[in-house]
Amino acid sequence: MKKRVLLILLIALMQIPAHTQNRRHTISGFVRDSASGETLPGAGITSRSGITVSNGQGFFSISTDSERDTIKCSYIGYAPALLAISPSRDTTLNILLKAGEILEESVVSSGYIGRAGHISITADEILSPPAVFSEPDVLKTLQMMPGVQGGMEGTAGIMVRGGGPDENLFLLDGVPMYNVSHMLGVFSAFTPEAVKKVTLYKGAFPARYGGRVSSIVDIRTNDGDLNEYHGTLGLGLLTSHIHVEGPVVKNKTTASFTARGLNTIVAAPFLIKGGYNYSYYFYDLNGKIVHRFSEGDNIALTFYKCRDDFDYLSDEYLESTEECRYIAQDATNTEWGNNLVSFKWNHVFSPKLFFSTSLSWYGYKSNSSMGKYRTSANESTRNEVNFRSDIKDVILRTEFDYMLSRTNSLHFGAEGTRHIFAPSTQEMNKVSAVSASVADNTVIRYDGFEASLYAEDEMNISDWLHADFGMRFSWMKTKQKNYTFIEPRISLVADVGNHKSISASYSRMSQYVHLLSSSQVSLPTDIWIPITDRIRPVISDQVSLGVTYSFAEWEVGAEAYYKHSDNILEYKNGVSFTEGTGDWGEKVEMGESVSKGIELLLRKNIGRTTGWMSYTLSKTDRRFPDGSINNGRWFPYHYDRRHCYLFNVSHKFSDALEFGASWTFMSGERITIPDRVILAINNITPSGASPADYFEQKNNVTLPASHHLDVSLNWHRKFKLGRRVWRFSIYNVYNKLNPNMVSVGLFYDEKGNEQFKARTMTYLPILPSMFYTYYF
Amino acid sequence: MKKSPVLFLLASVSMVACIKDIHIDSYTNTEPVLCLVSRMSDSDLIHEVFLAVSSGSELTCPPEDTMVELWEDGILVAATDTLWSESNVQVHRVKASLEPGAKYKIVATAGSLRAQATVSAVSRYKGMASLCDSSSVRDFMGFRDYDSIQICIEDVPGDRSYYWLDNTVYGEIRYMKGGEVVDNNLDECGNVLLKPYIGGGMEELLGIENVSGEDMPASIFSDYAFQNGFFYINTSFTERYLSHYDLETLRDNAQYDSVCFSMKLRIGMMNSEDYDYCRLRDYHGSDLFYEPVMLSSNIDGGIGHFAIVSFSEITVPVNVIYFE
Repeated sequence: MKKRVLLILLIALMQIPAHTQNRRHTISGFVRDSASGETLPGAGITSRSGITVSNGQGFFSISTDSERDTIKCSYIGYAPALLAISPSRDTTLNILLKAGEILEESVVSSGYIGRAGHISITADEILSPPAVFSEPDVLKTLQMMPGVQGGMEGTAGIMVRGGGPDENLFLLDGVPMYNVSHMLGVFSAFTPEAVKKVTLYKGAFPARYGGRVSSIVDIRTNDGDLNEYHGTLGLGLLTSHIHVEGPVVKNKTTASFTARGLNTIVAAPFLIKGGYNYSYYFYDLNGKIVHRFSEGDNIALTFYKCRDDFDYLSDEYLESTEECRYIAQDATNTEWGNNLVSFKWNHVFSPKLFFSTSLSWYGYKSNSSMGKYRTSANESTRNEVNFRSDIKDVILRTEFDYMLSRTNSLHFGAEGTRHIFAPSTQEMNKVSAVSASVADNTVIRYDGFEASLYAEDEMNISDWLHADFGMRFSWMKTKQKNYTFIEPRISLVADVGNHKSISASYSRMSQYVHLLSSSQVSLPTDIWIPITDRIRPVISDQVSLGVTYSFAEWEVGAEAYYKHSDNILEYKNGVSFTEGTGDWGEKVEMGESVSKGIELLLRKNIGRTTGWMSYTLSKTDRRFPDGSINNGRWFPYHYDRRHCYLFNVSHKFSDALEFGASWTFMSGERITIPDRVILAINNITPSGASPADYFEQKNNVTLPASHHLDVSLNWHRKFKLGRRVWRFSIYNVYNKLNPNMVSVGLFYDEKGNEQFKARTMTYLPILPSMFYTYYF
Repeated sequence: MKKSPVLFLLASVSMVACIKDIHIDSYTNTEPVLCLVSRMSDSDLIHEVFLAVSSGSELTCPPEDTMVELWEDGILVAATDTLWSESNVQVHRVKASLEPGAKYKIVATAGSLRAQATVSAVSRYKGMASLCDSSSVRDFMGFRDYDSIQICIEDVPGDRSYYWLDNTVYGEIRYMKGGEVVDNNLDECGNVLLKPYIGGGMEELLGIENVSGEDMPASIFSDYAFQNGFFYINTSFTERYLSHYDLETLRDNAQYDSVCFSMKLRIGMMNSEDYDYCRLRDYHGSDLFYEPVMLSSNIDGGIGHFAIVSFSEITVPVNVIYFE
């Protein structure tokens, strides 16, 4: 297989000399928003001679053979630009696109827009759909895309094409983030106002991405307006935010700053003191400073910090021993959060060569402490146990974009990451008025070094056939063992005319970290751990075939995929993730997973009425051959939801009023229900026996489907100094009590009889809400 | 302990949640199947075999003419000697002397239902157990506790082994003064009255909770629990365990100045199938994140579990501990 891939790559590259002999000129530059000067990554650019797409920094480079040519540039949500050029030499061309004024020409396919497995979402698309508590969310918007589903309703985790929640790589300005949620996953860690564009890769993975096997979520933040200061102030029922951006030095240095917090952040310090038992808050801080030395030379500093904090203090109670009587109180504090700093330098060496390098530091820390305060007439003591989990990554990444010829664009680079995982650190302290002592200290630490090299050739093989051939070499060094993998990536797009395209792809992905989690909710106790000599990396092979068709204002897409993953992890039969990390390698088992499905998407981006409809038919099965789970037989994955319909529409009645509605329907998740009662032997001497539940197949029952309709009304009004938007939403209009959590077991019915039931907990019944945003 | 913050968080969520019960058809497999469970010991002559008929959510007693037979290498070595019923379970008593290393087949016939299984009795433990360490006298809430008495069990070389440490056999604890025994932990008939706590290293047991305790007096562990070739058992005792429990008198009169042990251990060897079954049987979690445990079955034609544990008894003398 590997030899065939190399052969195809070789044949493709052999075409290069023929093309390079032609006389041609290179047109290069940046695609920018005309008002703010913000760069636009992923814009489609075409000339008579070829097609390309702007890179993550908005830079493009394209050839033209003729003396007169027309450069066409399109970007979702922007009016397309048509630029007539007569180049006599290599030319720098900065393309300015105007937001909002969308003409019909924008539906002209660039050949890349219809690429299967890639979905791009702009900031406006994140803000437009109805949302829980009227709080738009990056990841919940992605959940509305075909092939993507959330775990528990109302939470921000995503599962892509049958993959687990740990199989998605979230990149914030190119830096991988591990923990991406707040408040048990109700909010994602990405404040929508700070986001410029989100691209989800669920197949046809470019070689520059790696590290997770199911999806890459590439989130780019705002650089900041080059020309003027502006921002937003948002006040909601749950959260509030402020966003400010503008030029620090006009046309040279920009800054963008966003802060968001749960509204309890104001009251949190006083809640416990005021006699409440609980307090909880979270906040996010996003910032970015970009300095442009010249048009082709800039540096960017990105920073991000977020924190969740939960406190509990019990009421005082009496505790007595034979010697003493105490007043006792239990206290719990749990805090967790991310810190990220990234420094990036982008440089255009020549119209054909773009260079970018970055050095980043990412840290995740969770700290839980549980203690007991005891006060007596003689002394005051505090006994506490602390659990800490830490992740630290230092990442050095360098990448080049080189236009090799009229038909070939090369992307190549290298990345090295130093991982430090300390998933479980335990300290036991006893502190009295006169002394403090650490009674016990247990630290488990895993170090690792991950490196990768990649090369990717974006080719226009002919006028109608475009291809990406890529190869990624990845290497992970752990204490016990080294792992290396070669990951070929192939993607073909055939433009069959009349705005129709057919695409096919093959990707091999590897993953060197695992998440030990309940997978239902995101918790601070979720723990990332690296591979070991026994727990091998996840390897996934995916093939997909898709068609897209654009007509009038509509875009239709259909895609089928088949994905096979090896070395996926699951807890062994009967083990719970709450048991902690000690000997975690013995609690999990490795197996394989097969996912297949068909995804349909109908999308309308233009006009007063916009939106999309999607349907996904999918099936995911897992198997753990060692027999520790389901006796080694295939069984359906917990989130094997067979059908998934999503409908989202937005209609603009006027400049002042905008209506949105979305309806979601998903087949129920799989759970395990006993088939019969059997006799089981007890672990005692002498032996005894007692009844026990028995089932032959794991995940043998499908829960009822969940569905909900959400509506929103946005009311805009302009003022002298800005404009405001009232966003009114009703989540779950017809109050369907969909399960957010499910526990299965014997429960008493109204008559006091024990019955086996699934007891569901719903915290999202009908929820009217509003959100106020002021744009200044 | 570690799950506490999680449960607090979930409790907060549940305060605003709506509870709804969904009726799910369960126990739908109503086809009658004979359940057979038995764990025999080579150190016992009398063994119990438990039988019941499973049908959906019902467990019923098999008919009275049900028979259990035990075969060794094609030779019938035992059959039902006595049988009685407890609730919906039928208990068959069979008398047989089991040889470590031999292969046994058990067959139960209840009308048209028939269940059988074949297992080998594992070889007995051939390693050593000895005293590793004894130290520490500490004061705990007015009592003197003597802990950190550590006994090492040697690993058996070769393939992975699975151990059953039975805590039902205890040695004598003798309280001494001037070299004379002034008290012990035995009653007048020589029965052990006071049982020192025995516990294995919790963290080393593959995440398996130590099942030592009043209700489940056994520890089950595998080679993975061994460190540098040894499995460590920590025992302890306290003067509160003294038979007549006259603490003040003992202290005032300084009736003893030293103590010595004779610790008896009962170490069983089991096969991997039985070890896995024990582990699963013990994994009946009560928190929200446990899924129902899928019990394994090694019974052909029925459901259940048949195992034989081979026991060895080792006496470990403990040094005299002198008190200050």
